[in-house]
Amino acid sequence: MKKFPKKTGKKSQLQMGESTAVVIVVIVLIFLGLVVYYGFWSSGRQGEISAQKDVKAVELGLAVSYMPEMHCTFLGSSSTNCFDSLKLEVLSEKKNDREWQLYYFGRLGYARIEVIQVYPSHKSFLVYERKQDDEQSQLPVFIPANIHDPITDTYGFGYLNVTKYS
Amino acid sequence: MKGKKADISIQFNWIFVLIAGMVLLAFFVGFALWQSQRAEDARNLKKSQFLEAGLLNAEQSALNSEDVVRSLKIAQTTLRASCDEVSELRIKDSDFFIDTANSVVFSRAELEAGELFLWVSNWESPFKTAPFVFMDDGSKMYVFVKNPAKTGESEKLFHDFLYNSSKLPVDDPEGFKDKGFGNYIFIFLGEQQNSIESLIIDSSVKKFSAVNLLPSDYSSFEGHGIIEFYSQNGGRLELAEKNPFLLKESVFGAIFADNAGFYECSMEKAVERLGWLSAIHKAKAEKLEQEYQKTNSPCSSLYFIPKNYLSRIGSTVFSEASFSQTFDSIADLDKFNKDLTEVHKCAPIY
Repeated sequence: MKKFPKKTGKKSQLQMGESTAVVIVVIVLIFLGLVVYYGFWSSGRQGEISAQKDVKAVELGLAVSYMPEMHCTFLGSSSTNCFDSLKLEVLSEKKNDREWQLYYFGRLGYARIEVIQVYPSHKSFLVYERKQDDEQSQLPVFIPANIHDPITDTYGFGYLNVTKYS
Repeated sequence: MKGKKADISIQFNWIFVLIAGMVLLAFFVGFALWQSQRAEDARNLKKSQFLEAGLLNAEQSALNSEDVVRSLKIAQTTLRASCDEVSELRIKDSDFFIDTANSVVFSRAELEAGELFLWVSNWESPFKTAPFVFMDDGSKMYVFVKNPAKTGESEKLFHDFLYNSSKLPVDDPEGFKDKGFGNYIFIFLGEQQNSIESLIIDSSVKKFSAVNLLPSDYSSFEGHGIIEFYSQNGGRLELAEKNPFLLKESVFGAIFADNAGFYECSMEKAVERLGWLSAIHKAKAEKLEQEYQKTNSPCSSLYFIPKNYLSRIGSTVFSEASFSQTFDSIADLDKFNKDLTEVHKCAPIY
């Protein structure tokens, strides 16, 4: 007579234990699912960030190639992908000037901008450089360009090398 | 006793199932909300990337040639443009924005864009200094009020305003009725403040403002002068502020700007840029002088005067007096630069 209630109590406890175990297993499975999902999401995000960095580097390269500071003009009209060698000389000389550094850092950020003439003679103009202390990656962009000498009114051939540090 | 215990056990089972169910439901609802936020962020990121690329491309195209007019089609978005301590074009209620600190943008503070219109024009002062970006969402109408005393100039202003889709010339602003746009700006040329403030705008026109261009003597809207900004006061216009302008691009900037403060902020950026580019051109003139001296060329003596013009242009500040002086220097430098090539056969500075 007295044993029945005890058995019923044990049975209920067992049922509760089963239910709890099921819930725990479900939660563990969900948790594992989340970990796997986060792994995929995280690697996808890394890819997006990396692609975004590439885009920023190309954008900077294009922006630099159209900057009036370097561009060739003749009586106000400009020509595509052409740099003025005298303006390049001016920028190379001023690049260490504190005020210039501050102003152009606001426009260009952490980057290195160099114009290299390969024909008829080899010349290079480093017009801007600002490195990050903990430099992580470098994304160089090369854009072919003409280099105009206003004194002799002749053109050389070279390229713009823009490296974006990130 | 047995029945009671069984009842309690069943109740506990239900409570347990309810709590566990709620936890699981909360988890799935939270996950769905998180996913939805991620999708929204991804959409906003795409929009901001598209707008940034479109803006950059339009600026570059303008620097390489003439004015650029184009539209950027995006999904319906509310954008907030600001020019203050922070200059940006932000997608409303999101963390996504385009930094416009290095661009000279003139826009209304809030744009409801399904399609964003861009008109980019070079501020040539006298060399290419900065592309001026005029931005609109197509909900504003530009009403050009003819001035009978300045017919030719009124027509030229209307003609040079390249944002064609919503401009209209009118003779009498009081007779102007709503044309289905959400916003109107009246553009006056050389009007008296009293005559503008005494106008009664038709009640069908709900939201409006105005600018009045006052070119200096012997100048036109393509030169320099003062712009009066009027705001709406009931059915009338009320003078809010006055600011100087320099060259027609700045006039168009004032027409597109949200208010006098927005215009001033963008013009300050342009003036700062003018200072840097003048310094570069002055240094180039010095280099030309030195190079010609090496060959004893008569050209070497010709760069002294333009260097003075460039110094004056480089010291421009945002004021009427300074703009007046700069305008004269721009005209002189432009003439001198042409003469360098056409008369003296020497290299031009720009």
